[in-house]
Amino acid sequence: MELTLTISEDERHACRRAASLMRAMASGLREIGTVQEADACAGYAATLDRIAASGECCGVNSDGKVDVEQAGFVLEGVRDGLDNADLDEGADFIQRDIERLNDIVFRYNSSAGKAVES
Amino acid sequence: MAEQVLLAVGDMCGPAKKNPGAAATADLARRQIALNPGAMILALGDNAYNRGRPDEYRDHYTPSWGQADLLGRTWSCPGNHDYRTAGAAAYFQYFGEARAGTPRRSYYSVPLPEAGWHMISLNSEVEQDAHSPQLQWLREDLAARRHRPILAFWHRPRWGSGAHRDSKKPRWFWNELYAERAELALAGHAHHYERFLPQRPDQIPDPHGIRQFIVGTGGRRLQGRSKDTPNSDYARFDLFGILKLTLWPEGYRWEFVDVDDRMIDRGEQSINPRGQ
Repeated sequence: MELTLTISEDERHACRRAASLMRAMASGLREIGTVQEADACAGYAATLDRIAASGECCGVNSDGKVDVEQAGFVLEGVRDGLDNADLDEGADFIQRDIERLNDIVFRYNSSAGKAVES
Repeated sequence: MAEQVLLAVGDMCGPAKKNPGAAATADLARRQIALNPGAMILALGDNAYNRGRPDEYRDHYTPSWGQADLLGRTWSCPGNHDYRTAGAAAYFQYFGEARAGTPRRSYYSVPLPEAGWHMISLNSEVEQDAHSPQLQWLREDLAARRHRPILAFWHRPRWGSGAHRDSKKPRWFWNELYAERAELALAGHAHHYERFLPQRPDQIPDPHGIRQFIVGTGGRRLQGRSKDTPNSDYARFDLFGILKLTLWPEGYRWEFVDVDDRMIDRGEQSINPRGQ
């Protein structure tokens, strides 16, 4: 289900940063031979790049919404790792980005609920 | 004394490799119901992995938690995996409007007349801020049931020491519930058990605050501790099990029971004081 969502500047910024980390993750995973996971992270990065490059309105479908959510889960692991290593600033930045990605997910879910019932 | 027993758990069913505990927790629920025939079940979301599709509810939820003896007494809230099917359409169809709400109005409340409590199911997977229809509905629902003890449940916990950690969004629920002196907030999402001390929305301990439980121990692979969280009073990351709550007009008792019928955590508390 493709829906047009309003994406704030903060959310586009978070998508841009999250895409950078997903690309780095994909590159590293490819180097160590985990191709399926590398492809998945590259897919999340592509979706995030597309949202980041959009204007205020962006078409997002169900798979794209799941990509955003999955990227958020991967970032939770990065955040936890940085936090455990006492690299607090990076962990805090990523936490804020996760929250913005979740905002997009919640907005999609709300709109989808209205759409399936209308 | 009039009592109502609730059996609460989330994150249950899916492929056996990744959901090894689902059949055992469903069997545990049956044993608890044999002891407490009037018990109600609260399904705390992410009931059928991985995308909450109709075939996943049919193939994974129905054989265990979806059998008539359990499903017929289940009230639910949706989880993030349920929303991987657009609008969580399969979830709403499976449980029906009275036990889940609808895709557009995905929250509801249920009186518990035996115990004199009020139970509220909320949706943490959609917008929930100050201007959202959900929060406006919650304010009206609470205002209409003032002076009753309150239990609310939704999927994504406000605070957590396990996977996913804290979620800021449910603070809107917390603010409204705390203002009405709610007693209990139940959640899943993180695959462990955790009990918090009663606290305010700003994490200041308050004996008349809200006590949060995380019960993501319904069957999905368990997850470990990721941080220490203020006011976390007890947590287990290694057991599948169910939270049994016994409510009565003046108080409540909690018991976390594992799939070997062991009482792992137990306590009792009076309801919060309210003005007349």
